[in-house]
Amino acid sequence: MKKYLLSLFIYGIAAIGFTACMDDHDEVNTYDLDVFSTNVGTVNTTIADVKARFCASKAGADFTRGSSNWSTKVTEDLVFDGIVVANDVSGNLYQNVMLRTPQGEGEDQCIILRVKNTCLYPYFPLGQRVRVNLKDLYVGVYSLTPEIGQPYYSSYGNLNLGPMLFSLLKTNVQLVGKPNANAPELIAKVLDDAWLKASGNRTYKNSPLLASVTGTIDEMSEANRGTALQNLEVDKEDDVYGKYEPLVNVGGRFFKYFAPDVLHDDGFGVDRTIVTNGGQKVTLRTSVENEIAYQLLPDDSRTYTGMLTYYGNDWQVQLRDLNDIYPKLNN
Amino acid sequence: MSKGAKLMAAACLLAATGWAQTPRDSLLNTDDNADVTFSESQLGDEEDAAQTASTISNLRNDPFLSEVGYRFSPMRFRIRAYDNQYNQYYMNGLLLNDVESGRFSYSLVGGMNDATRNRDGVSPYDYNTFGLTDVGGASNTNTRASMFVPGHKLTLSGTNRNYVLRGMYTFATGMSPSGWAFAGSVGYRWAKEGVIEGTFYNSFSYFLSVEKRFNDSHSLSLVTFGAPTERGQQGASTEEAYWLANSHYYNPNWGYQNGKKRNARVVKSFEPTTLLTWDWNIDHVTKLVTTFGFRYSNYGSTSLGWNGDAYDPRPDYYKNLPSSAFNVYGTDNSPKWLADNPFALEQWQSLYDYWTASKANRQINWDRLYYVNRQAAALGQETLYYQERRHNDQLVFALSPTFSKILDPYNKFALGLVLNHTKGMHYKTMEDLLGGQVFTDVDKFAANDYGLNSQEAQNDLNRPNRQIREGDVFGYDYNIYVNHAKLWGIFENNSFRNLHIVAGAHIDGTTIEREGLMRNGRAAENSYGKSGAAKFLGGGGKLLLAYRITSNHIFTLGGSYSARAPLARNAFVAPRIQNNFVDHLTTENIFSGEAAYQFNFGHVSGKLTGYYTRMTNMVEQTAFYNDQEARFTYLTMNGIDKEYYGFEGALKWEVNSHLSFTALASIGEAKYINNPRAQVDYEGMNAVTIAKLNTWTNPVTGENMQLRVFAKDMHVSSTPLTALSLGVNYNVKGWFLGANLNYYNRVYVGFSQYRRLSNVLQAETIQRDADGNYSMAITAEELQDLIERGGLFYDKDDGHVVASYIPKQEKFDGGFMLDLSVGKYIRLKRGRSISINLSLNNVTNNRNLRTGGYEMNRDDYYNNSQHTQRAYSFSNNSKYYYANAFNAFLNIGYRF
Repeated sequence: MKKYLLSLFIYGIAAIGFTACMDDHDEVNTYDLDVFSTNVGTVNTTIADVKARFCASKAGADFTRGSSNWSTKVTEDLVFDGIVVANDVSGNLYQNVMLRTPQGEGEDQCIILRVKNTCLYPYFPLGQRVRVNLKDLYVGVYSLTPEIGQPYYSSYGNLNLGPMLFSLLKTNVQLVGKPNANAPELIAKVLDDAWLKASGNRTYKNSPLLASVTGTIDEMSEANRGTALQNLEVDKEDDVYGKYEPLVNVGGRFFKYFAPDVLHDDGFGVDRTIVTNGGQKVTLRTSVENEIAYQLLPDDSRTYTGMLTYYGNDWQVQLRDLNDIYPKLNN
Repeated sequence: MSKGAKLMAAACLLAATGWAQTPRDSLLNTDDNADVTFSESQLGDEEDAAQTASTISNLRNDPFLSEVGYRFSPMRFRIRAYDNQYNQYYMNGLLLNDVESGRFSYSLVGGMNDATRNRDGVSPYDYNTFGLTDVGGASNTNTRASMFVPGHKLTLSGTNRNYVLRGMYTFATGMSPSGWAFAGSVGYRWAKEGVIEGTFYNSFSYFLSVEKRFNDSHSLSLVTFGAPTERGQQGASTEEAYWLANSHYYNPNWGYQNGKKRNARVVKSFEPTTLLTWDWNIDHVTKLVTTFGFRYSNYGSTSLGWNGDAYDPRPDYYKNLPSSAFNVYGTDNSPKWLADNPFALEQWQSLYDYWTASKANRQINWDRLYYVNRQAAALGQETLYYQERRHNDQLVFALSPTFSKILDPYNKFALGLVLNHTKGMHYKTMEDLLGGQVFTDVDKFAANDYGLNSQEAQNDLNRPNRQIREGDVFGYDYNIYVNHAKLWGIFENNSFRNLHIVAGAHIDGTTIEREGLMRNGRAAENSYGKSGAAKFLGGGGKLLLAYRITSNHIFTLGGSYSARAPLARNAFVAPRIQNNFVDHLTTENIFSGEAAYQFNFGHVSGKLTGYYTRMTNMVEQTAFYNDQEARFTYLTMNGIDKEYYGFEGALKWEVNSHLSFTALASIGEAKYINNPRAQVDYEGMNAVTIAKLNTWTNPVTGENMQLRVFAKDMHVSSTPLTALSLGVNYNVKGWFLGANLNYYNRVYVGFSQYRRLSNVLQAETIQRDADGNYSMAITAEELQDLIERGGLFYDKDDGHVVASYIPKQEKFDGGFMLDLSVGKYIRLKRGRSISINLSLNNVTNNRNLRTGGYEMNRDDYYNNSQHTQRAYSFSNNSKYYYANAFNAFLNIGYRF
């Protein structure tokens, strides 16, 4: 019997030794991330020059759709630097990173880099200097907004300039240095009534732009905010005409959300209107699936900072996150 | 205390700690040559083989069932295409099938081949003394220590399958004069990397059996076993991914982390089980066997998780594949279109180049997941990627007394009671934050839909916004309680001339209840606490008539009917979220019949069988990540009717005592025969939204109709409905040689119920013409599109469904597989022996045989007003598994 007891012991010990975990792994050295290029070449152009060449006019573009969408494939090594001034940290900007000319390195302009990936912000934190080689990428405008990407057919069958493949970051995009959260490029341009009103400002040079606009939300005016605790029919003629949006009673006054799902248009966004003290109107566009969408619109004057673009005669601003509202929301 | 009692106590103690290792025994079968090479080699693959070997596959007196399970197992063959829940596995008279899923998990006895070899199989209609068997038959493994042949056996195996090395040691003392018998077994299976890249295997097993015979009437047997196992899993992928990887064995589940391979889907399981059996021989014809069983299962499987906004980290996510650039299956493929849109081919080429440039590019990029999480943490953001472990633990208490009596030489009967209480514990834990710092227990998808601060976003309203660390429970946490009681009886009569009769009946009761341990924000009122028990009364009976013309010619006719409770795993609408039962839940009905002729003409013997089984009112639930809705989805079909019918044949020609030929055939059909009710639940949505999703609105009348899955004529998947085999065996002077040529066909892909939902299928209206005939005012191209994609035609006047076109279910190509085996049995002095077996499977290295797969749950079209076709064709990109390429198994056993 001793023999069996001994066997019992030996095999018990052996079993514990044998079944040591195999699913153990070393910590990752994230400094060697194999996503970006380590050298895309020497800077030989600027954002302003790129926009002037590819975004000022559709003449000579490889692909065009109407008068608001075109793109051209870049066939040479055009390399520029930009500082990340807007990204998708809240989800309000989708597959977009806005780059701004580094201060003192050329005319102060911005352009959108579109990348086919969600949650770009860890790769492109604000204040990060980015070097882009445009060779084999496409530059043009989408709804008159200058951007870099690749063409694609949208879910409605429209040929647009869309995001570039993520894998092309390895050949075309280089991160330079570490992000500087206090970079001067992160200071938004403050737009007054005169600037907004001047038609001469509505040019590709000013779109996109990191900008601030101060005003009240038209949908929260006394006339438009709703007077009873019931769903409010949208009364303007747009994509969502005839739909009802929810109201929230706060202390006897009724508030609306930034972007209730029921009101979304084909782009899954909801438009509100900022009215400045001088009566200028700027569209505040918010995606329906992010933290901003579920906040209540303020009914007082605030400053809204974000990515400014224009279409036709309308200026439009898209917030990067809730920190782009000042004073901060308290709901 | 005697030495034996001390040892028994020690064994119990060790078993309780879960690390009981004991010397282990060896063979129950005195004939060591019964180590059929195929069974020896293939039993080790059971975990990933979807339990292909039927529990009744070693039914020795049935020439078909005794061979078919192992011979066809490389193709994951299931007898008659039945789900494994219809095969029952008993040990010492106690049913070990899991009452939640209905299935027996072979991992429970993994690595205990020798210890569990003493198994008796019974066909669905046979008399037996351990239980009333289901339509798939049953087997009972006798693990009492006294049943093991005394001695030792050491077994070493090498293979290129899930594991590469296996070692087992078994021992048995036999019954000592003092009435004690001991048997035990320990084993270890290991692979740093299995035959599929990125997988690994690390499994220990132990088995201990102690028996005390008090006198001629009473004996007590204690058996405890377990197999702590850790293994990396293989994943299915699309044909495009296989093509890009240049291998049908591409595994998307792994990737490099710091240059080393890491698998995202790792199973850890340990299911220590203890059985206590009291054998009471009341007299020489009367017996009472009572077995009490206890099992505590720990089963967890990891998976990558990601924040609702984060990019899907799976390497074969469709947006990463070249065919996402343009529809390579559609008209876009024309040279003109490509010339007009050169960017499409550019992007295709770019993705192709990326996939083929290096192996790392087509696997999970763990380093990137860490990078992203650390960057997000530095910005004060939530963790975007993580690895979670989904636990399905169980606590089982079962009792099974069985009384049997031989009345006279012609009559005998058995009566039994089965009691089972199972507590299933289902939850998930944070396995690895992958470098992330902050993770809040909210549903990221619901946060997108309702806002981060909404009630709906909370996974547990009782502990809102809980911060999760590694090891913490999060997401869902619930228990499922199942109580099952069954009274059964079986009677055999041989008193009529040449007629053998077996009749059996049972009645059972089942209760099913959910207990939520979290108050989920999407179901605040019905997620926390107990659901209340659903109660089901079942029962049934069976009859076998066997007419023996001569001892060499036997006709049998069998039939059975049973009504049984639905499985607990299918009973709740969305078990992770809420307590609600599936609508219209009631007992399932199974009717089955078969006719067989077993013959023996001298050197030629065999059996021919025809069978028909109809299952009605069945419930099935699938849970999957819904790409269309970007949400985890439950889809339950209720009121399913299915048919199984076909032919089975086995023929054996024993030319002489050395040479024999065998032929096997299984040609059957297994399909859905109606369009069952459907119920859909998305994890991230509240009840109001889900109610809308479950609406099927008639486009003509506006009436809200019962949502259905158009499943009629869909085939049961992932098993060959045609399997044929020719074999030859030769043995001489201790050598055994065998060869089997197997042919498989009619394997179908698992169909997506989602794509066949009545509110997902395209709707068209048609009208009668003046002659009263329906005319379709659509082009041939449009009709073809409807046929491929699926659509419903409604009468333009009254709205009834005139015709339906259901997306076709893919049938895989058939093919051959050649298996060879050679073995040598060497008798040594003093009763020692060595057995050597080498089996070579798929010798022709056929790498194109699909064993199974599934369609993706996504439509080819956008849900917008223009219904534009997507660039990526989901209907042409199902995911597949392939049968193993050429593989070998060498087994050396030394008995001493």
